[in-house]
Amino acid sequence: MIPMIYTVFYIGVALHLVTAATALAYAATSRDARLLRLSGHLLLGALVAHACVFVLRYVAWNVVPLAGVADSFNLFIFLVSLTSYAVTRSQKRQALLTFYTPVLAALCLIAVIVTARSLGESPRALPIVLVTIHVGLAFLAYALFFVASLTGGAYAFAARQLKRLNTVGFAQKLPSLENMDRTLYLLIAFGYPVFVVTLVLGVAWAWYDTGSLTSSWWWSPKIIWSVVMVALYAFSFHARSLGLLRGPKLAHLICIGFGFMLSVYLVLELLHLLTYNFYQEAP
Amino acid sequence: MTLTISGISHHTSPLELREQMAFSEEVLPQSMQRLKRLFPEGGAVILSTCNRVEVYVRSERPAMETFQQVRQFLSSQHGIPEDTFSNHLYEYEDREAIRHLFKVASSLDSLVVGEDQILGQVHHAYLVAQSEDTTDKILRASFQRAFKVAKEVRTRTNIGTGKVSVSSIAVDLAVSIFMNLADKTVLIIGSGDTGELALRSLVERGAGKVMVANRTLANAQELASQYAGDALSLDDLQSTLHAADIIISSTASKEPILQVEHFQAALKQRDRAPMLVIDIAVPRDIEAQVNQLDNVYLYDMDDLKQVAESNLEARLAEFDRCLEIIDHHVDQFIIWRQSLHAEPTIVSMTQEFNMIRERELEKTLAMFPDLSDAERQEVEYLTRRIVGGILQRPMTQIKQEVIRDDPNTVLRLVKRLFGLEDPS
Repeated sequence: MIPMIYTVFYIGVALHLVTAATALAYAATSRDARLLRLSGHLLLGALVAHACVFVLRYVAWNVVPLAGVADSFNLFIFLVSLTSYAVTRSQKRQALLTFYTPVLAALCLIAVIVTARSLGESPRALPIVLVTIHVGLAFLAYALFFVASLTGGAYAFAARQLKRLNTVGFAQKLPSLENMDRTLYLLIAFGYPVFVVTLVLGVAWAWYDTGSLTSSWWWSPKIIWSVVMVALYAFSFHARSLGLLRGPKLAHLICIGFGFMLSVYLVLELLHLLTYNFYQEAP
Repeated sequence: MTLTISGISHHTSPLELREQMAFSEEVLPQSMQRLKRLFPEGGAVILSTCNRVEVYVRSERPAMETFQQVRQFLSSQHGIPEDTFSNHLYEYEDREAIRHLFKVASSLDSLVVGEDQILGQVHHAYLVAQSEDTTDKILRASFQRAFKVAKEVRTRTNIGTGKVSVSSIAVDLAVSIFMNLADKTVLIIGSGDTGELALRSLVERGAGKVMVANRTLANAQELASQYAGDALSLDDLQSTLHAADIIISSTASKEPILQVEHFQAALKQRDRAPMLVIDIAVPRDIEAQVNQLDNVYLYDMDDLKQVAESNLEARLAEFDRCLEIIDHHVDQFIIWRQSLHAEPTIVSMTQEFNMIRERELEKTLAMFPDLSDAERQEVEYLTRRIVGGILQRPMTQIKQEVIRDDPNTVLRLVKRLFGLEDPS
């Protein structure tokens, strides 16, 4: 089973690389829309490959593979691919693949370098269903926010090109500003409640596990980081809903905000300040 | 099998001459019929637009003779001496003629390279010729291939992207900003041909609602009524600005009529939904600083000119790529046309072999009168298969040889080999 897991994983990575190359070829020439359609089909293939890795690891060890660096990465790439695919299903938004797929390819390369070795090892089991749902939803929210930030980047780029009178070439092939603004809003509108539910489940599990929530728990880096993240997206979501923030400013906030949150997350992760011991060894 | 083109265009002739030589819609069918009578063995198509008059002829005569007859036809048709236009006339035959047709249909020969009207005009000329039955196999194939090439050039290159007129740039900008024009409101301030053209283009593209503001309310009402829109005076402008998604302004005002604070207030009222503002007035109607606001995209006349120039440059940059596609199709078309030379010879060769087959079959069957109908049919089928099998390879080879070599030499040899004509 392990060789099969690796084979499928590398097929997925290869598909992601080809997907990105195809989308970039379109961005460079902005000519043949068939390149974009091909890129969309390849992304679907990559998506299936990542789903297969997930299923194969579950079948091999009978453990839902959500925890641990390799599985987290695989899950994250799968969910970002799924979100990207869902967003670009509409022909009008297909050109966004040129923003999504290169980043996905980069994530895959990082996955190969950092996590590929662990794919042959047993996944870390999560103790209860509550935690499994908590982790799954958390990654879904991260994926939605990640794709939202990429869409924000595309919006900022297109708006800048329009202000600069650059109306030929690639910029013209992107979806309309209104379309990207709506996509961005919908991604946050889905991601924000998912993230809130994730936090509630996390708190519920912590309370269930320890019997009480101490002040040191509330002030732990992970909780502070999560609250800041909720605040960022709560502000973005409500400001956009009320019409207080829209267009380039919202795009920049989402884009830079996510970048900042991701950087802080990575630093905390490197300092081992985010790890909870809710793993249990697989049977 | 010569295909020729004789024509004048904006490249070679002044407007006055093109006006004199144009074929109106009314005379076009009869003129094509007249040409067809001149070239009964082939056919003719006339393409007449404001930028060109071209006569496409397919005949069996030498090109020089065809050119001369077309010149005489044009002269008598328009009642002008040949000398008046012969210096402006371009004449192409065969490969160059096909290439020219493909270039024209693909809009590479147009005044505004990449414009999309010419394809419709070529198509119209072809349809008239079809309905008048003045085309033949080669002309039909040439035009159909030209449409295919034009489509390919448009989809595989950026020759048609980026517009070059104010009205079409306005539509392009609107499409870049808004997802759907059907729920958008266009506000036109003042009057002016360019502004009205832009408004018409936006409405044709599906813009949902129109508002017209003018210093004189009666003028506003007149224009608004054409688009089932609302009329308002300039005094109401600031209070209704928030309702407009696309604003086209072209008043004769000496001072800006809309300032930053007006747009700030409008943006607040419309929940910061984006606004496209096209200011084609000189002096400008909208304060330039408005463009600094988020979600407001302001373009003045200089901006539009700059967009048009860069779009045109981008189109011209695609020119060589378009020519590559065209040349590829010209080569393919020439090959196909060359292979047609072999058709009559192949037909007579097949007939000759079948004649021999039928003669021998008759003799053989006469020797076996007891054969049942089913057996006779089986024997006949066998002879057909044998003849088919024998002819298959030579037929393919002949088609290939006429493409590679001089068709006349190849076909003469084939005819001699199979006794298809008297060698003397």
